[in-house]
Amino acid sequence: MSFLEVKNLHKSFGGTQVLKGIDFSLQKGDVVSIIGSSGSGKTTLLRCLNFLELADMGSVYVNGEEIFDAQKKYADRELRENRLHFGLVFQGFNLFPQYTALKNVRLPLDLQTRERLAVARKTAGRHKPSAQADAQSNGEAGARLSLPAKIKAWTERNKAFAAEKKRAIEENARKAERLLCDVGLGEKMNNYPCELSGGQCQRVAIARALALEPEILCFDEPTSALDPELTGEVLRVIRSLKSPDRAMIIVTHEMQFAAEISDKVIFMADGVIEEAGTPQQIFREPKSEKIKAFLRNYAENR
Amino acid sequence: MEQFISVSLNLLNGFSSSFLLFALTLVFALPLGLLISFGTMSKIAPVRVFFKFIVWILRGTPLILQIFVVFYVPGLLFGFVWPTMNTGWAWFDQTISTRFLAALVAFIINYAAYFSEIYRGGIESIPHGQYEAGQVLGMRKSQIFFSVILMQVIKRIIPPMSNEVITLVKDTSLAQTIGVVELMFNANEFLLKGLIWPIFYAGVFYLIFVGILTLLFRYLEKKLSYYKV
Repeated sequence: MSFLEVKNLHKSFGGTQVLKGIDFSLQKGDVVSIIGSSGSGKTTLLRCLNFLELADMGSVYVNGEEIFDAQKKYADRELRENRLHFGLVFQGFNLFPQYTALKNVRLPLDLQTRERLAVARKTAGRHKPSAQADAQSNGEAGARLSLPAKIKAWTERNKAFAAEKKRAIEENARKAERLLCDVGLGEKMNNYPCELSGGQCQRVAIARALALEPEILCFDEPTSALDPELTGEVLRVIRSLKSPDRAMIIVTHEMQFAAEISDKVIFMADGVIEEAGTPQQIFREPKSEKIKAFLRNYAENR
Repeated sequence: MEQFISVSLNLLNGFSSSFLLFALTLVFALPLGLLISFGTMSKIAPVRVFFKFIVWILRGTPLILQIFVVFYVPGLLFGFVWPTMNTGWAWFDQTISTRFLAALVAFIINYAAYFSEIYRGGIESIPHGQYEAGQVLGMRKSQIFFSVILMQVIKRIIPPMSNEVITLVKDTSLAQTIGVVELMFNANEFLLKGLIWPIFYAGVFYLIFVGILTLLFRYLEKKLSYYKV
């Protein structure tokens, strides 16, 4: 069974069909590159996987579990949870300008910590502390005593949550620092995005996408918005992310890079997968005329 | 000299009322404006149309008319009487008169309408990618708004907001039309007695206050200039 399975994905905008039935699958640890000319639906495919667009037809399975089926209605919360299987690095970085690099990476972690603790606190509040139950079983005299006991239990619970929050937040900071060091930005952690180069911004964005440990990390033309001399550093980082625990889907125009990093290359044209195969098959022995034309065009324009 | 001191005290008393009207209007109109802006951006068409209609009315009619309406119409139609304050604190009870309350309500809804359009402009100017980045990072809509969008909106709306706030300082003088005792009301009393210079003196009060606000806004802008969008 494949780790990720995409079945018959369709998407239209207005009257224009952008995806006309996409099927593909990948294994954990795979790196899949998606190439093709602009308007072929590559970006839309990634956006459908991340639920930034909802496909009109088709389904997505991760690890055998159906996480999306266009027939069904999903609540916001479900989409939010299912989306966490995926991470997405945008072409235009989309860093949060008001936060430092570190805070950009930490923010999703801190928000999750806060939410987790808020939920835990709510459930803890619902199961009344046993002191009160004892007091009630002791009759009226006991019930009168229960108020200070309640207050005490409440303050203790609050203290415990505050300590847990502090610990978790610090852990998040450590993790964010580690991720930024991994992408080579240990020195720039406290800089704001406006103080960083495009390549550095994209590396922060990659660290941020990694913070929630997605199983499938998607890249939407990660180097297309960069000056040519800055693409190298970003590609180096992406290369270093190849790991058996993680799959990557990379929409790219860097053919050299795609050929060298990918286990599988998908060539898209007009909303369908025209041809898929190993880099060798796609770049050296393509069957489709469209790929041949695309590669010829690409070689001429370099 | 004695006259100067008595005029000063009198105008200062009027100014305290103007200032209170100004401050309370801001306290209520700033959040209310944000709520109205959500209404005008709602995906539900009837809600959107309703709030746009309200904003049209509030921006499309003179503030002075709205003050009259708020003060007189509830009483004429429903026999509603604006409540009086009974805290026992004389200055407070006298300043927050029924007239003051009516003027306050009129100012709040009028300014909330203007603020809502400023908020809307600010919110709609934030690139969509910011929302999408929040979404793919597993954030809820409210988390995206409060942790990602709001700060950027505030930075962008400070210049237009400072304009509105400064206008509000001077608009408080319209409250005198329903008999609220405020700065211009008191200055006008002197004028009716044949003393001209207090109205210029009142102008100095406004100027100094607006000057302080201008510095405050400049400080805020500077404070938020640590990042560029």
